[in-house]
Amino acid sequence: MKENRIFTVGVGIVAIMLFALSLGRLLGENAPQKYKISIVVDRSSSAGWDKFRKGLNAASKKYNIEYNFVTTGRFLSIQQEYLSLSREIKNGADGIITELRATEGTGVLLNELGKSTKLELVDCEKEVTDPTVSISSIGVDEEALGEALGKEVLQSNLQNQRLRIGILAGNQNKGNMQKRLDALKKVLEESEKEIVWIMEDKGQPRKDLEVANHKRSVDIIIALDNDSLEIATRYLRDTGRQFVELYGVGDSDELIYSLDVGMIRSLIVIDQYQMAYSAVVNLWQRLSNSRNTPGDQSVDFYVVRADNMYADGMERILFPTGQ
Amino acid sequence: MHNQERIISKEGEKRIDSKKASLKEIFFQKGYFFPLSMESPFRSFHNMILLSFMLLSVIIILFLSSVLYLQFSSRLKRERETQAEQLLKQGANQLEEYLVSMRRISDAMYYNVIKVPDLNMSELNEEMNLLYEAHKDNLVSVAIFSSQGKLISAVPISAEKKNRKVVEQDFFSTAVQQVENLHFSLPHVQNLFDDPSFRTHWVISLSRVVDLNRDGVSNNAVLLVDMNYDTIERMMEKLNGDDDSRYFYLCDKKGKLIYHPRMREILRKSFQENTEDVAEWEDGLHYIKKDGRKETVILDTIGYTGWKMVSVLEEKNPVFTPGGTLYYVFMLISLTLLISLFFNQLLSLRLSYPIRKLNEDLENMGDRERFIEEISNYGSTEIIHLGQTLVQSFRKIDELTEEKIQQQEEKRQTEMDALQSQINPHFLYNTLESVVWMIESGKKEDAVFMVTQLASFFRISLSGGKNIIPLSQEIQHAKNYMNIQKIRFKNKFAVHFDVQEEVLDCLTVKLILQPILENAIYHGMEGMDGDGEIDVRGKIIQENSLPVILLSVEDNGFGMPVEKAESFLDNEVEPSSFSDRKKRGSGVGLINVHKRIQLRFGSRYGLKIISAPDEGTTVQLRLPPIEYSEETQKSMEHGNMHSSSSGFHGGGRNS
Repeated sequence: MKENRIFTVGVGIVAIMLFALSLGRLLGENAPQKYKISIVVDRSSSAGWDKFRKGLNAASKKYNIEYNFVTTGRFLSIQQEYLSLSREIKNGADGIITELRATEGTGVLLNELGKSTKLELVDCEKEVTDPTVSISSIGVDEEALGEALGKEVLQSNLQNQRLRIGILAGNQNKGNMQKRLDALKKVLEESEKEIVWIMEDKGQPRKDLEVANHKRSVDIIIALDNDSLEIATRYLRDTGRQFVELYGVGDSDELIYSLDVGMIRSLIVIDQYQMAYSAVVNLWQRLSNSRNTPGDQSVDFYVVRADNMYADGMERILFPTGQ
Repeated sequence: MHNQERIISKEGEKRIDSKKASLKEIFFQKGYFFPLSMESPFRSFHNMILLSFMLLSVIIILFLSSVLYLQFSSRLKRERETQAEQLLKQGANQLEEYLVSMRRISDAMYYNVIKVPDLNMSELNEEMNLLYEAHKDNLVSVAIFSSQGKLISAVPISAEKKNRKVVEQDFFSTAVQQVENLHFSLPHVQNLFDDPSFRTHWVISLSRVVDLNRDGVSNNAVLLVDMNYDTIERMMEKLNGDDDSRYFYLCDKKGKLIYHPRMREILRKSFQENTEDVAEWEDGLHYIKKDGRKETVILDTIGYTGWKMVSVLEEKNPVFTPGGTLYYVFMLISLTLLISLFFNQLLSLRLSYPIRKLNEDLENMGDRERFIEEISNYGSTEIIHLGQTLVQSFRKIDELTEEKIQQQEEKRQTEMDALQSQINPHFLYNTLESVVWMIESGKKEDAVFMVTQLASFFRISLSGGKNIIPLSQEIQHAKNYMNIQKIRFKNKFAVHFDVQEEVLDCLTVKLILQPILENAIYHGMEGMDGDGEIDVRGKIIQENSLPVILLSVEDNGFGMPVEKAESFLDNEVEPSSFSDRKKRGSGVGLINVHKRIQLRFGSRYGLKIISAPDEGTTVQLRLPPIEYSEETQKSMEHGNMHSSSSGFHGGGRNS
């Protein structure tokens, strides 16, 4: 054995080299596996998801992912949502991107679902979950958004008058929406603006708006989500109330058009494209057991007005192409 | 100063010497695992051959692999570049064709519609519509504006958005500034016309100043053709394909991006593209370094617009990417090394087998007599010769050992004989009878003298068991003997001793003079009547430039024939019978003395008999002049040759 030491050592060295090369090849940049993901959001047909879909499309192409944007209406309960998610898991989804309709009481749901699939939350808050269950979320800094929106309102042309403000608060079951509203209210209350009514979306927002505004009309309407803002825009158009100023959060084509033609004074646009893109990338990394698995992330929002909507970078945000 | 330098340099030399000594110690220290250690397995013949072959193989493999890799990778790189260049040119040509077709549409709109004299508005609209419909896949809108920015006609949508200042729009101001040219804008969202369906389009605006004839009046107007950016986007997406190591982008002559596959990342500043510098480069290949990575940038300019189509080839981590050249090279090197390792092992084992077998046979040699013939006679001529030489050497060693043993035995025997003869009872009886006679005769002093001489004689004979004694004692022994014999022979002969002092201080084998004297008495003095003379001389002479002790015993007796004297010592057996000698004296003959001297000191020394009839006999003893000391005596007793005289050599070494 002593005599053959050189030979044995040589064979050992070469064997290690071969092993290292093979291992490196396995761990190296290989062609990505094709994963299937499902996207389950509230009211999937809403135009507010258009930019989101474009981001989804771009990321899926790049990472070779097959996605299914599940058609949904308005989720009425957590259980309904849970069923929808479970169905997707049963159908073989490797991961799910979802926007939960509520925050409270979803912890248990997330814990259960998180054990059998990879979950990525968008535009919603997550209740505290089992630390062993890996769920990350992508959203926006709601306090900053609410504050920015409030500041835009304060720059209103009507600033010297006593303003009456009505707020369409959207789905206040979501923790992030609550934060958005709270931040907005704080800015307005500090400036002693009168908030006449705050309406949550309880299923018939247009009707509720008509009733509320009929009872007590307002000078400014602020809508905290895309659908609410669209309803407000249509309401003002339909009723010809051209002196009411409209502010809000959203990025659908209709809203952008409305901003362009002057119906909306200021629009807070959340980078939905980036939100979707990042959600897909995060999910892909977790599915491929990549070493880089980022946690919760936030995306930017932009304050857009008619005078800056066609500026260089803003165009790309408001009107994303396939790139 | 000079002395100091000498001291310093001596010290320096000492330090160097001690360093050399310690290095030598490290390299050749036994038992220490180091490649050159004597006991290291790396020093084996097989391993040295294997190491040498492997070293050569590794060098050759690495050299060839490097050459092949460099050749292959540069070729691959060139092919990639060529492919990218070709694709780039294709893409550029396609885009150019597209832009040319748009120009043609603009030209057609201008020359075939706008320039037609006396065309009324509805006809103008109709013609514009027709042209638009024919190319609506690539067009978003066509519009004509007056020089004041007022909309004259537009298809498909003619309702303008409010609050639009057309004259401030880029397409308008650029067209108006350079009247004779067509102008292509950067991609932007078309925001001139009101589309109640909320649709928006990314367009590239092609604008030019035109002559508009209306009601016989020619006025300047601006013709705007909004090309669908989608077409260019799809073209570029197709060009980019799925290859991650390469991408194409489009920018204008100032470096402003028209299309980039990572546009959003650039906007978010998470990716950078140095388009402004690139736009100033000439068409062709450029090699740059970006974020520590090498990139190949290929440019092609699109005619008329001055747009730049750019291809960027990224150098990815070559080792582990699928199809990475370096990965395969390393795999090939590893496999080749493995094969060469096995092959070299077999070869080195095969080549070293004869010498290893020989080595093994030598190690396994036990009973040399039995196995000496079994030493392998195998392998190359040198190994066979080595084996045969070893066999011969072993045989020679065996012979010499046998010879040595024989000599030792002979020596022992002769010394035993000599000693035995000294205690021969006849000499003792005779001498004691003489003593009795002397006592009875009242010659007490003579009796005392006799006994004293006898005692001294036997004491020296025994010498406490030693065989090596100083010459002074040997002379004394001879004197004792002669004194006894003179009395016994009633002084029929005289004896004289003349030995140099320096001779007396040397060592000799005992019992060498007495037998010669005995012979001189019994063969020389016999028959003589009172005139016998025996002279014992001793001195150191030079023979062949070497010092030699020469002791001689000369008698004036009858002598012997010369031939007999010369051949006396050649006999194995004493000429006179042993029993006869025993009766007269000690019984140890000259041959015994001669043999003992030669066995002890070598063949240069010993006896020489010179005689002739009636001329007496001289017996010469030659001994090496070894100065007496206790250590020398002990050493010689144990059979070691003492090298005080350089004449010590010859057969029958007592080592």
